[in-house]
Amino acid sequence: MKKIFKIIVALAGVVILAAVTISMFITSGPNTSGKTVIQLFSTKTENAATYKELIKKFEKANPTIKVQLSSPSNAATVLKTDLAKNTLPDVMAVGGDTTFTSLQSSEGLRNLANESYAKKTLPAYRKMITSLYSQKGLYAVPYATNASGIIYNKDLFKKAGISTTPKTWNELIADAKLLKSKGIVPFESAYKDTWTTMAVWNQITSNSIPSSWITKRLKNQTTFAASHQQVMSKFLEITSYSQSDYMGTSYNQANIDFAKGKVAMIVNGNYEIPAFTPLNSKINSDMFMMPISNNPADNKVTSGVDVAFAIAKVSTHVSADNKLVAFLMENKNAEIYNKEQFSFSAIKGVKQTSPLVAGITDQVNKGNVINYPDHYYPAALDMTQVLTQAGLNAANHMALNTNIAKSLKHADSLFNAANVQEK
Amino acid sequence: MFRRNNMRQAKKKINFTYYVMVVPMALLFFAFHTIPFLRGVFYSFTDWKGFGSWHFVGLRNYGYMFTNSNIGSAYAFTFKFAIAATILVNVIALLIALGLTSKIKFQNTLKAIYFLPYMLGTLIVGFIFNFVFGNMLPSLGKFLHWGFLETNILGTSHAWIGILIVTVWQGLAFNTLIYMSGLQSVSPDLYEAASLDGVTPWQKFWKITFPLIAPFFTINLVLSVKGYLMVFDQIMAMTSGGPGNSTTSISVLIYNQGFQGSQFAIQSANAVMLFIIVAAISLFQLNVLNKREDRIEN
Amino acid sequence: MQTVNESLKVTKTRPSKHINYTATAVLAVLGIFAILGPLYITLMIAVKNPSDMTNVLSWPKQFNWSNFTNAWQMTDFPTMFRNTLFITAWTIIFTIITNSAAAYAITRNRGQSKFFNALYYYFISAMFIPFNVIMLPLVREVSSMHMDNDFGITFLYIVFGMPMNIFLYSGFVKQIPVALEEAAVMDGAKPYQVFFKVIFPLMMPMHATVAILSFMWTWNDFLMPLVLLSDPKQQTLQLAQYVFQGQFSTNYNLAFASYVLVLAPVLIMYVIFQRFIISGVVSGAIKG
Repeated sequence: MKKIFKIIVALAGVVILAAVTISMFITSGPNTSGKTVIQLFSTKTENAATYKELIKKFEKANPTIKVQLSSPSNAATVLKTDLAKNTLPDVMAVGGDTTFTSLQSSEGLRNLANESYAKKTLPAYRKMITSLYSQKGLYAVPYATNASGIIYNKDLFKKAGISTTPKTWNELIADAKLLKSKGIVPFESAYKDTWTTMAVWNQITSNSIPSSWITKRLKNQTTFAASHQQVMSKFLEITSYSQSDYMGTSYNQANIDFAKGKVAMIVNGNYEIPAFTPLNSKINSDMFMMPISNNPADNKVTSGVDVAFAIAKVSTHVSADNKLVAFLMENKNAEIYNKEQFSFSAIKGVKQTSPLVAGITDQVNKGNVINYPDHYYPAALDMTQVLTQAGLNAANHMALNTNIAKSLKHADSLFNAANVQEK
Repeated sequence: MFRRNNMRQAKKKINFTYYVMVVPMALLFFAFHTIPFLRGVFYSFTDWKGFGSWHFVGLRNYGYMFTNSNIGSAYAFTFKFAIAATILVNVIALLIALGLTSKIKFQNTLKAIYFLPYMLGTLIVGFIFNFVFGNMLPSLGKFLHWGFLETNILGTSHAWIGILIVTVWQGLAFNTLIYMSGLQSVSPDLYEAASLDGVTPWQKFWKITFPLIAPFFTINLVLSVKGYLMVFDQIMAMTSGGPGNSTTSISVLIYNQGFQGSQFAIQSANAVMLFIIVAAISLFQLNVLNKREDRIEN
Repeated sequence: MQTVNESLKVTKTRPSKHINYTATAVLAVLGIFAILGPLYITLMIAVKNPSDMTNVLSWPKQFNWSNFTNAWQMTDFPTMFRNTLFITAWTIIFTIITNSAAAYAITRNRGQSKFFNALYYYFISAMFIPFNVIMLPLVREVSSMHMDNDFGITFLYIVFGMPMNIFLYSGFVKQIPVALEEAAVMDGAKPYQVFFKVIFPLMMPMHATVAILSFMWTWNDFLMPLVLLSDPKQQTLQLAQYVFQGQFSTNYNLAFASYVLVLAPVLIMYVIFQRFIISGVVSGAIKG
């Protein structure tokens, strides 16, 4: 009996293994259905569901084309590996950041300046892309832009008796104090996910430091320690009005807490909204511009290109790639994207009307925006390391002035270390 | 007489079959492991970014390593972590192995439980413990009013202890199993003989048990140190090296700065240093421990 | 140290029969809380609703099985499972055959031949090369040969397992008495016959160990699939998990359901083969 059982198990094993192997050969072989397969690579994870929906529509309209979406969490590393492999994905949805700059400098991207869809985009946003490199041409077409600011819970503001959103730094801090006195957590910071520190840092820096600073810093004519005292002090002031465990809270947890109405404000960008709305569709939230200066007229919204489409030179079916990009950039599809992602379109005539970003839409439409300063930092400078360390120091009750001095010194030493390679 | 001759001949000339058994594999290994390794070493003398063009820069990358405080603190953290994890894992694993090989009830079930963590992927274990540290323990802390539990340990200066806990939780299983194999190979006759001589348990452990499991101790120690010096997965799943750079191990630094930061060449130099250190420590251990084993056996 | 002394004392004074209840209790409590605890929590979260999360330890008010069906679809579980199974199964089969033969050849000839001795040290020293050093050049080489797929990665696992497996097998082969082979040689067996008929079956316990280690490595590996498998249809369970984590993880219940889906095949296999897995390794040591 035992022997028969063993034989049956062995046979079953062989059959399963054979089936698995055969199925691997079938699916990994060349595409037999005659369809053109396009890879769409996205560096964001928040918008995957929207892409899937749009792709479905696209495939219906173009039955001979199949689109494969991939949006891994560590997109930057995956793209860098692809660069090393010389096998970039056909279409890439990237942000206007250092990952894109690396792609561009590898000369693996097509110039899209003459495509019809490129001309539909707003010149200001095209300029944001072209300012990232020195060559002529448009190597990615801007699609959606983000807007940083403060996401707030309207009900909690009302509960604390705050009727208008703050217009100056002092008002912001006064409101935070008021909220705290009513037992409401003013800010939820999520520094366990280190990138969220940059959302705060960027908004303060862009409104306090002129953009010419980076040129001086690269030439060692100035330092963080000499110029960023105020910035660091404001950054730390936000942490002092954050929930007690701001260093151990993750981005996801912050979204859950915000959706549950546990906190009043989150300093981040519009891209965070689709992460918490599914948890509470009735949430009464809005955004306002983060007021850094005490002169309301000086304050600007920190905004940049959130999604831009690039096409790889190595792609073997450029016309299909172009078709996909053109489809995604059709006004009605861009509207769907905007609506679901609460983003602002780089396409002429596509408006954002959601009440969840109403408090910031005007400023964006007026063009009262300023770019992210960290896009100009050397790629090897990991500013989040400085900022999380500063946050940790504050949590460990280090004296404010010591912390500011130490952290800025830290930033300078990292900048110098990162800058060596750039020369 | 005939037999002796035959044996001597076999000793001198090695049968061709033995070469067939090992040479093709060795060649494949050379092609897919050693060549990339040599290329990595080669790139450590260039300014390659992982893509695009490159130039020779000589030893600049190695010089740069010594001026970079991040690299220094990554080494400090990695050594601290590897030593703590090796000691904890081996001491606890040996204790559990001693317990599991003694006369206990539900022996097989308990063995099965203790080996379980080894079966689980580090990535997912990291995700699960992220939740335990980030949500469960803080709410327990609030419930019990224990201040130190209320904050996520991964967001404090003690974040490395959180990673250490997860590493020990997972690492115990394998080491325990190896020690158990060793302990079960110890013949009960020896113990009976010892009990007749009236030896204390402590002496018995050091004089009989430990020498007999020494080879297993060697394997465990070498593998632990090597593995923990290259610690990567659990850190990526839990802290990505933060807060600050307090949990940035050498491997994490190489990954983060080498890829995302486009410092591939500099981090290649760093990786070569890591290789030299790991190899040196491991060979030293093997030498010392093997010598000690020989001494014991003689 | 308490448990050590305790357990040893008991075996000493009352050699067999009597059960050490102290050790049993300590091990049972520790095992249940420290090891099964986190797994119990995982399972509870996976079957709950988001609204039922106030006490994660409690039994769910209502079982929410749709977490599993949603996670199943979102991660494309059947494809990922098939890919992972393919990689793991073939890696184990070829690793056992090729690596044991190589280790045997090296170990038996190390004493006589400088070449084999050098190979031994070559493989052992490769054990200490961090994957990070070879990663990028490797990726480049492998993709230029169009091996950046499930077939290629299976091949790489077989080759990359060599240092560790040779270390393990060679320790084992050393302890097999040469007399056994001499007897076979006397009967006129060729070296490959000696290996496959005498040594290979004797290595069974070490095969078990190697199979388990290879299984654990390939099933749970994440970095190598990450850098080599860019085609979404070729990805493995762990990689899918990482992608999934970023997209939907504000819903802990859904995320944990997908963890359970990945852990389940391993756990089922473990429950069925548990005795074999553990005793395989243990008996390997006893025979050696």
